[in-house]
Amino acid sequence: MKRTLLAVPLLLAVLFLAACSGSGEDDSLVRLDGPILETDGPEGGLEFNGAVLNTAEFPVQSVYVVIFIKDSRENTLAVSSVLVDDGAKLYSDESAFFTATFESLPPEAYSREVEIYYELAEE
Amino acid sequence: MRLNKKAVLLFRIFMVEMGIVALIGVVFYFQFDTAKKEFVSKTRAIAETIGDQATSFYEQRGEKPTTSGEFYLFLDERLGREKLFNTFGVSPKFFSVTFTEPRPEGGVAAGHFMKDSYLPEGHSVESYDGKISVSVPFLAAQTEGPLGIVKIDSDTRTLMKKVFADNFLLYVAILVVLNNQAFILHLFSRRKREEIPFAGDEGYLKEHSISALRIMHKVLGDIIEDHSSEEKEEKKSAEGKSEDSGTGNVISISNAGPGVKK
Repeated sequence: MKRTLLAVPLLLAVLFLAACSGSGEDDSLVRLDGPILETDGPEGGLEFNGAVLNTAEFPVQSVYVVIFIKDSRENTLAVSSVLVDDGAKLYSDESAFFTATFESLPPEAYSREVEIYYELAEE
Repeated sequence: MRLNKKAVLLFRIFMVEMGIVALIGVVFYFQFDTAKKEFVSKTRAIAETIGDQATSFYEQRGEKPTTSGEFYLFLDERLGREKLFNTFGVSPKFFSVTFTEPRPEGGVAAGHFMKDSYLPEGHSVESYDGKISVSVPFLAAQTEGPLGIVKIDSDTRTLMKKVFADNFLLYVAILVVLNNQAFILHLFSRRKREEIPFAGDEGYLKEHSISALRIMHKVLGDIIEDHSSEEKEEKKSAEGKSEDSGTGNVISISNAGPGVKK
């Protein structure tokens, strides 16, 4: 009984460590191919340039890149979305550039986040 | 009483586990700190490289209207995105390049121009809310001050997860070894406790056991007493009989022993 009592916390601790080691990364099949370049636009706007890569073994289409600008409380201040390559098919291991623009940067802007949406395409 | 002992044991186990986890936490903290320092120095090097490329881009195309997209493609062509940012396998999601005003030779670099930008003299590292921001100014030959600044924002949580995942086996090994040590210590302390004297306030004889022994002692004492009183009565009766008959040399076989056994 006592041995069981001693084994249980050890097992729990190992499980806890295993849970912590989970990558928690975005497991999307279409992901960013490198970081996004953020620049100030010619008329005070904000431009985001980047590329997406299809890591799936099948083609995808209608890839949308959505960029959120958030404040320090994680509230969304502004959103901009862009359809990559006008929704064209993105084949396996193929990457495509995109440019998203914002008219202005909100003064409370604190962080930026990016999400990628896509549809499976018929081969 | 038993429940109390179990609770004490559970509490001890909990405290030992907490101690072990705290020790692993300390190991993790030092590893993460080292990784963070290395990450910052590599990010700084990357930012300097981007700054050099930005200067080069400006010198080549500064007089023509350009866009940030063109600059991004220029960087991609020169450096490659994934290779450039694959520091520790943790890639930042965003980086920015901004140019100061006035620009050299009045060139128009639309798309990556920033007014009233504050430029530090050297590189700067800011750490806030799980993020590390490394800013590095870059220079051009024609200008006196910095031409612009490259800023790379990275998520420390991603780096933290990476360090943890890379060293997971080490943490498990520490956990198992220290648990084994704790268990061995527990066994040793248990054996010592068994050597405590048999009776006493904290010995193995419990209060109810002592009471039971006392009752048994009393019962046995009564039996012995009854037995001795019976013997005395029998002796007295035997003496009376011999006096009555006058034959003192007769021996009674029935009183000589416990009886014949087959």
